[in-house]
Amino acid sequence: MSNPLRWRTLAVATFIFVLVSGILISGAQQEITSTQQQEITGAQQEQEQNSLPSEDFRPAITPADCTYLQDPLEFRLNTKDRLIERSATTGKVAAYVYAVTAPEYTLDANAVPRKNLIDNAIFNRMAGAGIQSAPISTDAEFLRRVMLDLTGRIPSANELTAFLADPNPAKRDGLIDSLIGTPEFVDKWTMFFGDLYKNTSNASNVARGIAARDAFYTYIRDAIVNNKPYSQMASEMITATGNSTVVGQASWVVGGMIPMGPAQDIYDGEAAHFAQTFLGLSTVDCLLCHDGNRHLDAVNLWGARQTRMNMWGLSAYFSRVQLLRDATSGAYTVNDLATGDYRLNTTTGNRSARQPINGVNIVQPRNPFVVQIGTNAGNAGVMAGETRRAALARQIIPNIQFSRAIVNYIWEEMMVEALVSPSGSFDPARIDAANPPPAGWSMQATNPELLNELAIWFRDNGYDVRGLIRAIAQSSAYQLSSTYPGTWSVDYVPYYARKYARRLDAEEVHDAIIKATGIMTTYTQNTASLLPPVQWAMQLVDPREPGGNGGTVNFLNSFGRGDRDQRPRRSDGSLLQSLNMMNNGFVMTRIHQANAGSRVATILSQTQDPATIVRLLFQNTLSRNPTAEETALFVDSFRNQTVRVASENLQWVLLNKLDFLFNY
Amino acid sequence: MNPIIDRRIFFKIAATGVAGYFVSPMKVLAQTQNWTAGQATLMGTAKNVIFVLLPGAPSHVDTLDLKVGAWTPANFTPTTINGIDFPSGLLPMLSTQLAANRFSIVRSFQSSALVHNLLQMWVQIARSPTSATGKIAPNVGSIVAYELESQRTPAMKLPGFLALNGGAGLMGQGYFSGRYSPFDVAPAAGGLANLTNADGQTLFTSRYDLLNTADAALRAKGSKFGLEFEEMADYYSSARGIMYDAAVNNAFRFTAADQTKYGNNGFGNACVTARNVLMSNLGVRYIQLSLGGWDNHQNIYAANAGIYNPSRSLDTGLGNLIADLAATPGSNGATMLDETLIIAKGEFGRTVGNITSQAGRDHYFVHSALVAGGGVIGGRAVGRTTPTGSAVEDPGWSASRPAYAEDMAATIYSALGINYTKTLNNDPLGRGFEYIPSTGSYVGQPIVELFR
Repeated sequence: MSNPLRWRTLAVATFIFVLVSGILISGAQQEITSTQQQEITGAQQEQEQNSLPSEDFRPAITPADCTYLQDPLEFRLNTKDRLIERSATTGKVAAYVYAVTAPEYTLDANAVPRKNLIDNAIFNRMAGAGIQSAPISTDAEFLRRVMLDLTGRIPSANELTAFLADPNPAKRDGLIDSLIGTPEFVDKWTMFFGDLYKNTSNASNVARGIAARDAFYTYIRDAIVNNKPYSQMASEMITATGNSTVVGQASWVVGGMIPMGPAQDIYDGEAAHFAQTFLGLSTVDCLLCHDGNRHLDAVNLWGARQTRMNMWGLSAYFSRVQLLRDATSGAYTVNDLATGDYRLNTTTGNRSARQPINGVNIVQPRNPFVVQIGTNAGNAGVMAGETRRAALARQIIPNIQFSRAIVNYIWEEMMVEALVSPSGSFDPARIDAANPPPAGWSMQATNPELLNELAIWFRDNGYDVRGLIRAIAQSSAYQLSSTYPGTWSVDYVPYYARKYARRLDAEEVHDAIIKATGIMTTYTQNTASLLPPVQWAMQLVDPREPGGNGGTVNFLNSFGRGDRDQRPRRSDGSLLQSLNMMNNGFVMTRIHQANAGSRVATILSQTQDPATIVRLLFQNTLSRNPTAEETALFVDSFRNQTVRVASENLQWVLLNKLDFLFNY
Repeated sequence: MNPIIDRRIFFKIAATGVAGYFVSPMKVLAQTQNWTAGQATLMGTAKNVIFVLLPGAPSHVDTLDLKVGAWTPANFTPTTINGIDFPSGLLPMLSTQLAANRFSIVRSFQSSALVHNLLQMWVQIARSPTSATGKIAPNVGSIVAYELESQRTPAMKLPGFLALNGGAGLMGQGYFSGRYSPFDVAPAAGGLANLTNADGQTLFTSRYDLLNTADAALRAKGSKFGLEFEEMADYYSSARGIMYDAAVNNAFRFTAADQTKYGNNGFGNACVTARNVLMSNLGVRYIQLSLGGWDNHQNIYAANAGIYNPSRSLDTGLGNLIADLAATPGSNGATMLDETLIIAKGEFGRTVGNITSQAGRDHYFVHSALVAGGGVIGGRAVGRTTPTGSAVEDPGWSASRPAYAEDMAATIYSALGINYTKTLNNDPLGRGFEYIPSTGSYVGQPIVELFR
């Protein structure tokens, strides 16, 4: 949620078309299964694409939804432009903050303690390149940042003053521990995983329905509350069976559904869905239509060497999944059938034809992922008594790529700059520092050593999501200031030499306004939902809520909330955002003394002193103290005004200051 | 029956997006690389564009490419106007406009697939959304806004690209700066929401001034990069600029009489707003409207439902829009219709001949588009389909092949005098962003026959 490039999973278009009366290859053909990798020649590939059966009158084949870079609008590769933008945005905010807060910064590298393996990797790399880091952030900067990142909320004035006044030298670690596991923490990370798993009631490829969406939301939420190990979550989701309106994790399987095609389309859909969610490998979706050779050569080095047959081996793990739709309710039930195979016998559907290759016409489950560090646990293939999906979960979870993917997603959420970007498009051939790619290709990660060490650590520490969040938050790398008192270069960005700024997400903006002004609200969600009304936007089940309040929907959407389907979260600005912040009733009904329970009302009931009012409004809205200049400017604004009007003016101004909208 | 399209060609077309962008990672693209440098045909006859997207895909044989058969309801009142068969009963106002030579029809459009979402996106970005640059491609309207930026004057306070009732399917500015994003608003008789502050103009102004004083350092322009921050500051000043502005207010307001005349529905409101906004000349150059309800898989001829409802909205809305623009003077003696290119198009067509067992029509590649104004010579049909409407028999234009969304986009750019062969080399993928993709089995070109 912290990053404009948010799109984790494939956007699958709606597939509605007229089905050709099947001219499928059937009949008594010898069942030959694949037992080894099949290379497909260029000529075969041409033939594969062009030799189609005789057609019916109505053309019915739709092109596969092949995507190079899985994430729509996922456009910031490791290019100079992105790094420059990252630098510039951060630089502007930081420069301002530095100018107005004037903390006692010195560029003293020795003042930055190394807390854990993250710091070792980050600062060793920096030292090796001769790059100075930014100093550690001030307490106020850190408090606001960590509260936003961990709980999606800004600090209140009381939280600020208490933290600033706390003399305990270990107070930052204490703060982190106190935030993890709170209800707000649960809300924020439920939203994060809801985004990652694309939990929505109505997507372009499948209508999960409200009940199944809610069940999935509850499943995710419970997992966060109980800090369920990520390996267990993944296993439960990959192997889920049951009624998706009851068994929340089955709802994940529903998300891979591909309608209006042969069963193999569904198996491929699940494989692509799985690869995106749990491995960050969007190229699998490309490879399920064609070989990497001649398609991905300029895009993904690993993918360029893969064949469609390899990926069919992955799809075969899903070849006994049944997604049964209830005709009345529309809800899906997920089952594992006792039999079923991945057959190469399609000519219609959402992907190009699947026809026997080198005599192979049934593809057995075969794990195509061999790039790893450490051991690949267990037997490849399916063991006796094990369902195919269970076999896949068993093999994949210990694979280091599984850990890399989630580590990278969470790192990106907190550090803004991902280790591998786009985070859904890993290139396994460019990840391992021990096996660097050939000339012309760069290593994909900003810090390959860190990525792998952190992934190994995550795996060896019980796939503990809270542990990972804690480790990142505790690191000095995370706690660096966004101010860089030296001469910044855009080349420093991959070294994380400073903390990067990001605009607040839509829900964070909304909730910051509520918390700053103290006026709560209640939203009912979709009428079909049995979930209770909520008070914070971060509690909404999906980005199309609240069903009961169109105005709030528009307000949130104007901040680029996306829809967890075709439209990713964005953090660019818009005219509507500015009009909303300045004039929307949501803001305007919270800034007056006459608005019952407002911050202005509360403050004015305690004091009429301009300097105090200025300080309290700053602390509540911007979560920092005003500088001497700011105090002077705003105290001056109280002249020739009633205290009430001046206070209301100030509240409005602070909500519309640009640093209100950014996490720096 | 012959297939309407050779499957081999189909897959080549469908695969275009995948195979088309094959750039070695080490290759450095030239700064200005126009793939048909010097060969672009720029008509330069239009100043504005109104693009009406018809999501759901209207049945072409029941509307713009009428094919009369046993299935045709009597109340369609098939009429031949200028040699064009037209359902005057279904689209009365538009038939009047056709008789007055106010619009023409391109009957040889074709889509590359039959998937709603995919093709609706395709039409708006003029390339397959699944292609590499499809992921970053801006809406045609954003490119227009970007290209016409230099023509803006300080009085032009509205963004160049306006979307009315854009909805979830609206494509945005892709990798372009947010400056070229569609200003997506809901038309309402009372005007645009949030253009005034509840505490009054005086108080608002003083607050805004105080804000700028307090935030001066943060809002100042410094580095030429820094998109997120500078954009935000820019939006604030643009937003301030359109507040409390009588011209802006009036541009978005419409009278009860107009609302009724235009059909008293969302689409009609959008049409009248489009007219008013263009007449206000406040900087909007590309307006995207949207009218759905065409996905008539079932009961297409059901009374007061089926194809009748969207047709009624289209007829009253678009028909009046064309008529009003034709009656409004533009500049230099031309009418506003002369200066405004209007296109109404769905993402594909619907099955032909007899209706299905569900009493409807399903998806189909062949379709038509309505094209008016902006230098288009009205009252004609470009291209012809077979007697049933099942295939393009005569493409009717210089490319000698069916027309695609890319050709429509090239037509728009050409009409506005924008070089559609342009490639920008500032895209984040480093591949070069072509306004019209140049690789693949067809390359988009303007349908100049419309203008001659």
